[in-house]
Amino acid sequence: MEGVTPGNLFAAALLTYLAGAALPFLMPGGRRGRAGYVAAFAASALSLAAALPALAGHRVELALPGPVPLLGSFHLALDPTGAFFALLIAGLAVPAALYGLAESSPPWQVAGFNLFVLGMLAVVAAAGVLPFLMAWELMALASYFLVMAEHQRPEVRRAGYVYLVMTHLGTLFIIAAFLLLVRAGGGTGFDQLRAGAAALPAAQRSLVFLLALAGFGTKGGLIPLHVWLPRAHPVAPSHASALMSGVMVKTAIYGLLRFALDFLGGGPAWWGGTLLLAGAVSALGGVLYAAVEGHLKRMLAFSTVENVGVMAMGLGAALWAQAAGRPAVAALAVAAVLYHAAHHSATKGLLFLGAGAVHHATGALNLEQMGGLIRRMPRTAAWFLAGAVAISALPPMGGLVSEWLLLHTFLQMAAALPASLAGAVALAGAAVLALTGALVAATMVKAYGVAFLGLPRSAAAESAREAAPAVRGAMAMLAVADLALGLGAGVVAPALGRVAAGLVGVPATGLSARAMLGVVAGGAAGGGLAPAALLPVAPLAALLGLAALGWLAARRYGRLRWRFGPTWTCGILPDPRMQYSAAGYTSPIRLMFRRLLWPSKQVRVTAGDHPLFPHAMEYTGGVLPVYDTHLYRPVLNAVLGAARRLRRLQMGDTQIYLIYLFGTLLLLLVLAR
Amino acid sequence: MGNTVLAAAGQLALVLFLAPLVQGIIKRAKGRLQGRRGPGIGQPYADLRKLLLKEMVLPETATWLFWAAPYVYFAAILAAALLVPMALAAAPLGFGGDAILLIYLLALGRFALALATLESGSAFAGMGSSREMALGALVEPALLLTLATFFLRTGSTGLGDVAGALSAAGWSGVTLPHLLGLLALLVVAVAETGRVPVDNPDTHLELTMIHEGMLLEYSGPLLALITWAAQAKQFLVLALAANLALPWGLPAVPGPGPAGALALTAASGAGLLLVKVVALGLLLAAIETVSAKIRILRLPEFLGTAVLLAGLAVLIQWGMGG
Repeated sequence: MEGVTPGNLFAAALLTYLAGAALPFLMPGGRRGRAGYVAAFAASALSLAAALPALAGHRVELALPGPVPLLGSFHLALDPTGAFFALLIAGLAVPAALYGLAESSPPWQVAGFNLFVLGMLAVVAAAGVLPFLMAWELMALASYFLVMAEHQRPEVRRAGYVYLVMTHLGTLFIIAAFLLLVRAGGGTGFDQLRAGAAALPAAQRSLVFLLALAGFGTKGGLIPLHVWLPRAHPVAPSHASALMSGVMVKTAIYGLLRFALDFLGGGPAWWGGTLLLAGAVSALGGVLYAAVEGHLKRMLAFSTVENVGVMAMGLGAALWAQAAGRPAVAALAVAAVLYHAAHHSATKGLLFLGAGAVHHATGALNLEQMGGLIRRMPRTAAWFLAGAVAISALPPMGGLVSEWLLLHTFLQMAAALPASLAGAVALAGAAVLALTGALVAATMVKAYGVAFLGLPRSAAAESAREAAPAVRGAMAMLAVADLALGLGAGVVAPALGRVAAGLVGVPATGLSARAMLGVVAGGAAGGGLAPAALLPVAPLAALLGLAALGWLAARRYGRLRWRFGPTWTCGILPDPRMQYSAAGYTSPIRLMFRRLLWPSKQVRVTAGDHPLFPHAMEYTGGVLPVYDTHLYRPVLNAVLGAARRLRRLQMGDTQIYLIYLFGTLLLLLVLAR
Repeated sequence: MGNTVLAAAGQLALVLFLAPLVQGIIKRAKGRLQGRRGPGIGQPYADLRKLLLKEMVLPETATWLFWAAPYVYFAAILAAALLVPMALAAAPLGFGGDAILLIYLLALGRFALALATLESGSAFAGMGSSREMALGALVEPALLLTLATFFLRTGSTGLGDVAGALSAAGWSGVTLPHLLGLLALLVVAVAETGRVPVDNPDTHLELTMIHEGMLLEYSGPLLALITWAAQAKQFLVLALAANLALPWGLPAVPGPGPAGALALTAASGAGLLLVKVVALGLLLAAIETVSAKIRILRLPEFLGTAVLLAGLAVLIQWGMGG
């Protein structure tokens, strides 16, 4: 069909999103939400069809008439990088829309959903400053409306407010970075920005980099700009949270890639070092806060902070390696970051949808009120387990491949740059990655174990029901996608390697599956007897085979008889309160990292008749939200204090104001002379 | 391909048959060192056989997860064992960077067991599980850094390759970084095998258990699988330490030739491995006898020692111009 080009498909997708935003208001009664989500589903499928050829290198371009007539037309183009992120966005929007079919959302929520996905796609497809910024703002506003779903609750309003302020703060930095490049390049198209960046002096390039880091770091949730994430993500409806955590933070990674590698073309080593440090702090801080968090969605939000930190670490390694003259290592690092982005989108989406299913079933999101859900909602529990295994970077899911690539990159960097700061930092980075990965596993065992296993801790958990088929289907899609990322590493890695090679500027031949996944022909350097064709899938196949072997052996040689009995609890009948709580499960971690978390606890005892037999005991524990109390509160207090002092200038008297105007005018005339 | 399957089967047989023997030797040695007679060397085999024939009692709250976890643990440990060079300077399924996969396979086993034990709803299970995951969080970076020490010395990232290069270097490879790496590996081995001073494998007090706390509700064939896998894990950790830190005498992969020669080389390599593993095991028994178990809070310091030693080894290696 000659008329059907990827560009047409993309345009059709964008139009369908707009239709999906309008339909809920036009359709009668009960069908409102459905039509909108069906439109989103279809539009996302169209986007996937348009983005796949773009990933392979076909140019997808659209020139839309700009909304503001004087500013010319909008140019949207999907180059391989943008196409990759578009695949992630559309790929997660499909299950999210499917989940939405099971929700009963008001029309403005459905419209917000469609506009949100449209905004994100436009951000990664933008080929000029204006489309980028307008799409960025659309993305922020649409997600604000999604966050404010339960606006009757004060904490939701507070969360929305913080989100709005922080996203605009970030946008401010991004605009500043763009302005510097536009001024140097003389135009607003991305090609002109590249030319402009090449002409800038080193100090201004670094300024652009830092502004981009601050701006995109806010959107991504790098510590200390992350404070909106754990507030906003938990209160949005689950499919919106899935999109926000899964792909909205990836637009930040996209932005950093664009600025640091595409426009600026890399820079001095300290750029990479800064990004690495920020990433490491976010990774460790995020996972520690997640470990001690008892609210399921807030825990997942902190885990997003951790994953963004991990991706930032990979990007930092890429920049540093490039500056140190090792572009091959840099390309490998970028490929690893892209892999991690894909894996995280699938997994975080899966976990948030699961959290939503749990919320619907039990009405609770606090882990301490759940328990035993694996018996009440077995299929949801199975998919959630897949998500937990995936995000802990365990075989056979995709997280293992991305973690493997990242660690391998750091080790290669250490090997390629011996006796240097870069090598030492690379080794330290590898250690931090391993630490955070293991802490994530502990956190997920806590979450899954406390929520799904054991005995129900509340009446709500006892009366949970299985999730709707649409929800389970959405979760299944994401679980299968992540498994495909794990088993299909031989196919996905070279594809991402090509994208990475294009960004870093090295030929893609150095990034074959063989080179990336460390498999070399048997006998030669690689230390194995396995032929290259086996790839790392071989140990995983061995895993399955051995499991089956063990099962057969136990059946044949063991006498598999069993009976059930109550758990031994020192002679008393088992009670749900005897189980480990979520807070108790990670108390070793809380104690080991107490210098980073500053835990506090308070025990209040209501005395009974005898001192040894109290009537009641109340335990309150927590960790210090150190960024709120020690960074934002003082800054806010300073700003408010300054504002209060400035208010004295507001006399309320028109004549005083006229004197101010006159004085300012005089000052400006003097300065402009 | 056929070679690989044969080598994998041979290595699996090696691990499965020798792991209980090594455990038996360590227990008997510990007994002797502590002034007792100690159990017989073949006792672990008898225990496994007994467990396989027993009826299981499962907690009422158990589901398919409780059943699946021992198989996943067993399979993960054995898959990891296929990545470790044992009888020859090559692992059956080894490849460049396989150490990372090794660490994550062990993590998968730990994850499966720690999760499944929470099915029972008992406080002891939660205790063992939470401590094991916290310990894992500290052991993984320590193990990675320690292995990285050896990678950076030899310039490749495949475990088999590293072992081969170290073995070929002979006595000239015994440098200060090597010794520091050996010490670090020893510390990590103590942690991974769950021995004093990290964990007490002989304790009967649930409040002091880490690994055993997770096994309290398992019985019969499922417990046999877990016990065997734990012994296999001990064997593979000791084999890794033996072939990386004491690599001398490790035969290289023989080129194409008569099958008899290959079998002979593999057999002699296996014999040498057994000697080294037993020697390391006796060292562990001695450490267990003279040390006391440290508090959980002190584990970061203990494993931090390994991290420090590994870091020092790398820095000195770089300073030496390697």
